[in-house]
Amino acid sequence: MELNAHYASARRLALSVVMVVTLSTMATGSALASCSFNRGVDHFTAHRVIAVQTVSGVTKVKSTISEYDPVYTAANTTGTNSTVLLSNSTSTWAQFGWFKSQIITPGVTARNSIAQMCNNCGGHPVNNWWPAQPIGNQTIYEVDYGATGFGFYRNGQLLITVGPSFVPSNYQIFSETHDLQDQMPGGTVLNEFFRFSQYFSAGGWHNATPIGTTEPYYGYNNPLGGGYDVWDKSCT
Amino acid sequence: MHVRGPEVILRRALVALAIGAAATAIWVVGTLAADATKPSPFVGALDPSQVMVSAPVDVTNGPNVPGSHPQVGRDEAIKIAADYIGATESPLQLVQALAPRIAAEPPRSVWIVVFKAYGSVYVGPAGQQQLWQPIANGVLVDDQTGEVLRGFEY
Repeated sequence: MELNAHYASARRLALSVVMVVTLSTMATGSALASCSFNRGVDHFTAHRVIAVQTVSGVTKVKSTISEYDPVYTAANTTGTNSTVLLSNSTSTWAQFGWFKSQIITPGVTARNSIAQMCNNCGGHPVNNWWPAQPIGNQTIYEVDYGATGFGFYRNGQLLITVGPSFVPSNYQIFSETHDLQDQMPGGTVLNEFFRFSQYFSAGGWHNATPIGTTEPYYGYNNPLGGGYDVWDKSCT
Repeated sequence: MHVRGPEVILRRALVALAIGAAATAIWVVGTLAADATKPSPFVGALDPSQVMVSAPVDVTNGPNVPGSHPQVGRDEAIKIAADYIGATESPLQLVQALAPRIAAEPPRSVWIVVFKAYGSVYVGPAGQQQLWQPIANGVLVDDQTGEVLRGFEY
């Protein structure tokens, strides 16, 4: 009994050390990146560096995401974001993370935490937003499926539950822009970080699949299970 | 002098109780029925539960909700909300409601200042993006402190 308590204590200590070491490798700079784009304006639907996986019975997804401040030109008002998402079709998704955009007020760029929900919403998803976490912070964003709605958690705290829900069949974790004139989160010097990226199914949490992209403008790395680095090759 | 027996008193008490219960039931059913058919106070018929708002009342063109005691006036609330999101136009709607900042906190009495939304954005999962043209933006302002709690767009 006492031995078990010692082992449990040692496990907790070891876990703490791993978390501290891992988090300490995540830069916390707050300066806006410097970018030199040479790739035009494209108003594209979505450029993504993404981890995506279809998992039967997936009910939750979470990631610790660094609050980055990308160069955002508003060439496309959709904005730039790093988020986690549950989905099962074209018209069903629940998404949460940080956004830098002019989504709320055209002409006014703002950073927010936005929880977005669509269940066959007919082109009208509902966004709920809160003031953003500070630049450089590491924020745990989590979306949980529930029978009556999706729970959106920030740093373990339930911010809102939005229904009606749908049964998810895949999870996605990504950084995203919608125009080549906007910076993908992360630069060559200060990357965007995702850590402890996990999905929940079959009664337990599992490390999420690696992140990647086929687009030549962006860099990525998978240094840890569920740990990703993302950057824009045109930015420092 | 007419003296009532205990049975008579008991019978009358039971009748009164039954009438009271029936009246209560009728009021409750009537209220629920009215709520079920009551249109959303928001333009575009947004479901208030999707933005964690209860007891919303559109007061754009009418007096404040009877019994409410906002310390922040409606003009001040509109200015706070407009300044916060950078809106330059007058709001579409002004709503009084109860709403918490986050689910874990108790609800507060708030002004909801609703502005027209503009533009269009792509949203949705990878490979399945749809073009979304939002209708309106709501900003929740605590009617006692003037604090902007959060907002929504739909």
